[in-house]
Amino acid sequence: MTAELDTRLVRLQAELDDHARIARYLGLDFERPIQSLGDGYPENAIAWVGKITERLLKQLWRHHDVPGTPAGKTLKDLIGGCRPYIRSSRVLESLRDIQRLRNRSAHDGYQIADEDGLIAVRRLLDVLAWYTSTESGALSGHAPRLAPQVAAKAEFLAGLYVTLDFKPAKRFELSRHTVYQLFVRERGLRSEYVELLLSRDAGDVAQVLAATGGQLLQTQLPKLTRFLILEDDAGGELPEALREDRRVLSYDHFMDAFVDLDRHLADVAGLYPRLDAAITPITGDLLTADERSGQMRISEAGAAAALLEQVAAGGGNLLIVGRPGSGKTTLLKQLVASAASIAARRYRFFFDLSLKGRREAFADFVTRTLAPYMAVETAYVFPVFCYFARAGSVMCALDGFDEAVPELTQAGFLGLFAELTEVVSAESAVVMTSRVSFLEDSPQVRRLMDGTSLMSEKLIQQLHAQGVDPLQVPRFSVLRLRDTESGGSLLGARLEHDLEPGGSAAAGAGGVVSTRAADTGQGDLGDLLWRHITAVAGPALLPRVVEFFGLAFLRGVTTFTLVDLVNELGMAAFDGGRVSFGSFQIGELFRPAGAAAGSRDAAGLAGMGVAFRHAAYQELLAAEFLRPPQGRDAALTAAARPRLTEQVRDFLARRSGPAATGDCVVPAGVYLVGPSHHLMLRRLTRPVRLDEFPVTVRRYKRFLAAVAGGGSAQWDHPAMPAGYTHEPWRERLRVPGYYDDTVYDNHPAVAVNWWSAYAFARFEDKRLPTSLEWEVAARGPDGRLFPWGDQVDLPAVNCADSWSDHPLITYEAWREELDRGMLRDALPGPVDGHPGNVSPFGVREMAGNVWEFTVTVLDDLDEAVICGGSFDNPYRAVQASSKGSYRRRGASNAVGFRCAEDLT
Amino acid sequence: MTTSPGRRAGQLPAQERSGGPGGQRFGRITDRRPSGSGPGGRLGTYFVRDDETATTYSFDYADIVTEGFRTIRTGERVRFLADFADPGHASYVIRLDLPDIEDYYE
Repeated sequence: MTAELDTRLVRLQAELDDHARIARYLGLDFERPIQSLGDGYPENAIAWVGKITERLLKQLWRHHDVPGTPAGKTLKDLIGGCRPYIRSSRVLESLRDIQRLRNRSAHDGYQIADEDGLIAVRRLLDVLAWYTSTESGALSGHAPRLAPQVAAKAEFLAGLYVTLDFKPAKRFELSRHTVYQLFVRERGLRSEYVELLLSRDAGDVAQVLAATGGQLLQTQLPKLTRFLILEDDAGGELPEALREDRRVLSYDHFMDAFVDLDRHLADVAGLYPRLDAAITPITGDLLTADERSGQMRISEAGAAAALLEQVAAGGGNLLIVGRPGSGKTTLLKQLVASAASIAARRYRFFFDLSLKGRREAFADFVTRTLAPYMAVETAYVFPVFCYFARAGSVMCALDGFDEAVPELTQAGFLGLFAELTEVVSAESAVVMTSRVSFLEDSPQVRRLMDGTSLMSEKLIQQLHAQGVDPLQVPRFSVLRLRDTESGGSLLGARLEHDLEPGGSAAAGAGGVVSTRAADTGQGDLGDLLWRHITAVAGPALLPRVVEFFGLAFLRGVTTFTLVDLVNELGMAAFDGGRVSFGSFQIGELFRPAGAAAGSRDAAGLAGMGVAFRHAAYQELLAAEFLRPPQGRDAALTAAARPRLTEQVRDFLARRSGPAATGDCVVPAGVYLVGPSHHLMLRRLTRPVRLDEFPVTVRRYKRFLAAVAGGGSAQWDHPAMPAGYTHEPWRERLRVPGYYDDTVYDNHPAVAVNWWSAYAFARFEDKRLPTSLEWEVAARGPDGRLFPWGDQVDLPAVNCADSWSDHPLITYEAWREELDRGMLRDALPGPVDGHPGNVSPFGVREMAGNVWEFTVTVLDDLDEAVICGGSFDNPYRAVQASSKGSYRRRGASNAVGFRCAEDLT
Repeated sequence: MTTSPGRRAGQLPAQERSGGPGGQRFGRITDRRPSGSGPGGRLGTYFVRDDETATTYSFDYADIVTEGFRTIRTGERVRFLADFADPGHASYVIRLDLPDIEDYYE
């Protein structure tokens, strides 16, 4: 053993001895790790550290009554179970380090160095320091003397200073309601001290002071590091001596020593949208998940602000969803701003997530946002904020969660969500907003937010890979905002007001938006935004504005420096040759966004960031960019996975003109496809013509006759299993005479399998369409939801709702209708039975009636992709993007097909 | 400031996650028969084996919670409810391992 190692071991042993009381209480031997290191067995030292850590966590597990027994649990499971009760991210990191070191040391292939053993002991000391600081009798064996509420508050304060890298140095319980704590932190050769005296009220402190002969503990620490914290600061006059050399704070305002809350709130209030305008009351529904079906149902309805305040004050995590412009940001800002006038959870922080760089870590974003308001070194901003958040001391308002997701995919969502779990705990109060379509329409994401166990193995694996224990995923309630009665939005009402003759030139600068304006706000949001953009940009600048900002959105860029704007739009976009936000000609559409993330000149004017005042502006420009085929082509060239929101799709569908052809020919090109929570651009490399109608019984019978005459070998798929015939599965038919009674000749051919559909297509010298071709043919170049457009049009489609007397929104409603026998008569209908069910390319009856086989096969499952929904599905399932899969040998009354042919 | 560490409002109680008696169960589909359910008994019947108790339950296509196409394959992992009022029958069957969206476009 080297002399240097020996010295370090002696020092570590001395530090471990400070926690001897815990060792005695739990029957642990803190000398064994040091002995093992001294004997040259660092792997044994790590094993001992692991065992000690397990014992500590098991005690914590029992103390907090974590469900289940800690016996037999692995260290990883113990950390996972106790995680909600360990507020300090630093301590969690230390625990994970110990776990990693032990895993490595238990693995044969790894060399364990002395340094690894020393790190393990050092991490154990971090855990012990925190453990000691909790000062719970149940944890340490120390007989409790403090009143429980004082002990809990002392624990909270101690944990905060441990997070700041202080170590507990002294602790004296001076009475049942008064506790003295001294913390020390070493900075090179300098030691920093913080002294906390926590007491119930002035009377208690005076009593303690008298009992100690007129003086408390004598130290020479400067006043700024000596705090007297009173649970109740209205409890009498403090002795003058205590006022002189200590900062006196009430416990509920102790965070004022760390955070300039008033300035933060003032800055938030000053941002767009301003809160000084009278706004339309926003109503909403509080949703909870049905335990059986996992679907959301309304548990409470009313004024959104009241529902929100109720959750915020009571604790728990909440997701506010609503359409763009529905008032999510306004509500959230109101909630944060109201903190100034309330007592409970008054520390509320607002984060505009649209300003977070796509590749910027959440921790860096929080640090960048809060550093100006926090009186701690930059490196501690995030750990301290996390500590407050996880302890439930602050309300964390995250605006525009969907705008910060790096990719609008499940993986992208999980990445950000995993980062957020740092601030979310069993006790936290996190309120965040998002578009309806993104978080609510994805069943997987919905289940994740609900914290239910309905997660797929893949999702669970992805969570583990991100370091998140799926069992510890916090649960979010959902508040869904309603549209106004007329279908208008708050943003639309604001715009209508601003665009009126005499309306505010600088929209959002405090004009009064009346309730009437919102309720009569029939103007299409896209049209209103476009009017505003064209009025501000003018004809000269408009094409470049569409091209630059539209494409930027699709590339995921939503904040811009003034340098960017000069480079892209030229000096002509700035008045008077001056580059400033004030001289930016279209500045009315923007808001300052602080220093842009990643800006190398963050402090200078040129590095100043700007963003559109509402994301919908840039989404509209993205839709405009995508309208011409060359725009979609350029978008796919510029970004492998363009950022496509449901709002972009909605604008694109609303603002596109009528489709060009009705000849069922789909030209080659780039098209928008996918469900609203996973929109994509995909390229069709060659033109294709789809059958106008699904294959009918009449057509299929001609095929059967041909097969009966000469066999089908020439048309069969080479991989078709032997012994198959192309006869429909007649026993399965809901209508036994379906293929015999000519009344069904014009109905879709059903109860035939994929192999038969494939052979039929070849019989007609065609092929089955790919799932992409099918979807593009159904939704056209504008990405509409249904073949006929975005509107719900019940007479246009054969689906379960058409056979019922009311909309079948949920599984429960569908099931009830089925059990009532109302869907008994639901069957496929004639292929030309719905003249309105026609796509922009002239293809008929694609939505509903029957699902349709495509040539696309999911190789892993050996199942074919089917599209379009059928007569027994609810309306939501008959969208142009609806997809499922079905085994290739399967034959169903609800599955038919149509053919496609290549055009050269 | 809130300091109480005991509240777990943000999380489901463990028994709700793991499924108590009569609560949610997890299992795999073991068999599928071509008939026995649906109008006229012309639709398939499915069987699921409880991961924990090895009990086998049956269900029909209407018990599958989806808004889309109702089918399920052998070996698939599901969550379901075991109903005391109807022993041996699984209801609210939710498929857990569906393909990724992009797989449908390959």
